[in-house]
Amino acid sequence: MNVWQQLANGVIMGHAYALTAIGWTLLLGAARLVNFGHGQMYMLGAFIAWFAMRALGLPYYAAIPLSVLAGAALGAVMQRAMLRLTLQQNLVSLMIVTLGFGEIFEGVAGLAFGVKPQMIGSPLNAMNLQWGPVLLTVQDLTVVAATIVMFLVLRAVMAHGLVGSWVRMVAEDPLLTQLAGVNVARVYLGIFAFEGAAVAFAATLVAPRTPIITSMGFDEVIMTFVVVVLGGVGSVGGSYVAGLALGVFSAFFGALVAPAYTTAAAFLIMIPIMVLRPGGLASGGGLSR
Amino acid sequence: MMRPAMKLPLGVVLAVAGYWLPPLLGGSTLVYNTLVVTAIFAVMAYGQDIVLSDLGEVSLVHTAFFAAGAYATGILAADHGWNAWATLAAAGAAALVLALVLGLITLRTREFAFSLVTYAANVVCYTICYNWHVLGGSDGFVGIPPLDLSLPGLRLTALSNKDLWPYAYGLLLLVLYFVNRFRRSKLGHAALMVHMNPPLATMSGLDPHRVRLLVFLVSAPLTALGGWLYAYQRAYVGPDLFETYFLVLMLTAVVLVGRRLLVGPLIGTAILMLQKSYLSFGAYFDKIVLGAVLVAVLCLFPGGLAGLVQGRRRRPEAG
Amino acid sequence: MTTALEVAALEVEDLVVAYGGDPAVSVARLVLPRGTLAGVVGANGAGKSTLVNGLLGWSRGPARTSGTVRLEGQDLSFVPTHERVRRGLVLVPEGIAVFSTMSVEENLRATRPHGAEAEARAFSVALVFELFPQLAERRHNRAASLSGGERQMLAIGRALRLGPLVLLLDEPSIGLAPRLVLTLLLTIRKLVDEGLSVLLVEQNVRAAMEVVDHLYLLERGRVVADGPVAEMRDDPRIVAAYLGSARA
Repeated sequence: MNVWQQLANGVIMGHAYALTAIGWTLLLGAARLVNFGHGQMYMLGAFIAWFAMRALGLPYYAAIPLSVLAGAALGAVMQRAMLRLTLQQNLVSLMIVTLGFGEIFEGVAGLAFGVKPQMIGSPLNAMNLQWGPVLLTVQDLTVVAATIVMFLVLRAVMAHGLVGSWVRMVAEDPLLTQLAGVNVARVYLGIFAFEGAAVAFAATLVAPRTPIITSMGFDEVIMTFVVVVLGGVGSVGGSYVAGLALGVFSAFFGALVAPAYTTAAAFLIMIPIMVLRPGGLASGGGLSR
Repeated sequence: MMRPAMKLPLGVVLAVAGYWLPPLLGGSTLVYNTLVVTAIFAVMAYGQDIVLSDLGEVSLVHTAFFAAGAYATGILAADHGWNAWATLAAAGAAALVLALVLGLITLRTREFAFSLVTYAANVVCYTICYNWHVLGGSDGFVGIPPLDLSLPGLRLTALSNKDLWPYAYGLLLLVLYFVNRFRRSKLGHAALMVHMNPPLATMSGLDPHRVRLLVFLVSAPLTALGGWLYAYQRAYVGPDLFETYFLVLMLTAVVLVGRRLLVGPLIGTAILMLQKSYLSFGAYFDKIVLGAVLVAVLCLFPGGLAGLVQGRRRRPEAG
Repeated sequence: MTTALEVAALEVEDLVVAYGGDPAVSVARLVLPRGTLAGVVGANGAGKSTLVNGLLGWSRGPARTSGTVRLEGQDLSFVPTHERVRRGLVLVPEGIAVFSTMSVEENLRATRPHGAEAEARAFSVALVFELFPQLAERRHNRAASLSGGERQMLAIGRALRLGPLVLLLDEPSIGLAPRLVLTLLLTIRKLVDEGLSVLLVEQNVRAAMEVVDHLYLLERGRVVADGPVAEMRDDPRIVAAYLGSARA
């Protein structure tokens, strides 16, 4: 086994996990909302990009913003449907609704895009680089760069902007935030649209590395969950570090043990954390750097 | 509202009458198939119902209990020739063991933490079943023999859906009876108190953790019984049993009619199976319908269909 | 003194608030003239909180509101809660009215006026600290670590940051030491004397009567008596309410 290659793979995968989790981090931290449709939204982001390129003939660089916009729109639709439940903070119902949406997305994708595995033909994926013992593609580097940029931007917005204050207020007490003259519905809309856009963006960058299939939503949620839990709910910086750690772990576990069981192994790591620090997840509200 | 004295005889009459439902509706293969599958999935949903309606938590691992029941049955019946009574016990036991492990892990988690862990547990179980040849791998287990509950002197086998109907119906009635008794039991009341007001429950001498664990343990074999019968009905078990389709089906069935209504999950399942049998345009279409119904119910009329009916009926109060 | 031509700061007509069934509040008429301080008193459960929450179309649970609320002549029907706040109708609800996870300073900075008119009326963070020096001393502390009295000051400070035309205060003195209660109410009186219009919900009738101009007595969601405080002092129903809260 080429240790450097595995390490590089791990770092790249780690960034991919972190990028996929970024929208979810915000959503969970700001609204204590678990989006179980997240995996299907990722899948749709990938397939919309694929469809734009294959059927509409768009170049990869145009397919990305299209997919991102579609993702934002999906997020907005979900938020509009869930607004009343969100204001009531009816977390149980909200979770079930996102499951329902996930099912709808999977059905729509199956009808629209079929069952066969596909590949997103990104030009960046074909550009290979050799750096010592390590083989990478430009796609890989793009994932890393994009992740770093997104995290820095999100962190800056949350820490310094007015928007960051609104998100923090809404995270703690949406009703009281209304009394501060803030249009809470619009803040939620922004958060959901960001989740949709971010996960679609992640899909357009990460999905070209492997074949995509409309039933692939299942796994994505778990890794995202592990990233967010390990990093501490609502911690932007924490998610980044956790993603990286998880990526490196997955790379070595996959190479040394069995790739098929990576997700299961990640979850099994979670258990002691859940048992020892159960309060860590349950304490809602508060979005930290 | 019905006088309590009238409820029991009416219930018995309905229970007996329900047995003749398939021939009443034409007796075709499709009718039998729909009704048997409705009964099986309703039994599956009741396990979820207890956790959701009484305990107030969303368990996303009940598909694993369903699968555990089905897999235990499939493996033991197909490869080891166990009879149906034995597989019945094994199905319940398998689910119970799984529930105990998960229950202990999630002992101190609530709400979204609980749901996330159960979701992840489901994916782990799926991964193991999909990849491990001992559990059939991606191909699963075929060649499950027909249901045979024969006792010495009494032949009780089922070779078709029509034959399965009495057993499916019987199982359904058993589960209904059990859920009814559960809701009247000490544990059932305790579950509600822990759901509604955990601090008050603690001050009333209840241990919320213990109550939650027990309810979880009670719910798992219920769902597994559905899996037990499903293995015989379908004659095949595979990792597809872990799919979110079954999960969403269970949740929709519970939520569609209204919470904590004894026949709610049954009617909900029936409505969804009727759609699948008579108004379907393929599996993906079914998924969309299922998801859409779930979203619509929770976002537009959270009280379920029963809530809608009640809302219309309520007259404005004086003063 | 209001003349017939002067627009009232707040005018309420036929306000009904119901929690899915019987109405909890049913107020035919309530008028708050500009620059005055009116008190709303009544026993526990009389509907005082429901009333002021209803003026904003806001509640922590499901509630249906109907009726007309006019803010300086503007009809607020169909205007959502956050928009009413922006137009100058500001509520400090009872209970927790601050963001516990944020610091005092962040609470004040994050709560900002919307629109040029509100900005002109709004208190700056510095001004709030001038009004409540104890908050200045604790500016970096998390709101959760403040005492009850300091939390109330922060809640009112936040409200002043929004540049209110009309300020609704729901039981600001709850849990405060008696000495602090009067100080707080006198501070509110000072703000009224400087031009603010305030509707004060108070359980402590005696303290309220020290500072208000007009008094409304609420019973089972209805106004059963109202009038200038001088007249109301001798009203037997007020005396009964006052005796009830004398031990408070």
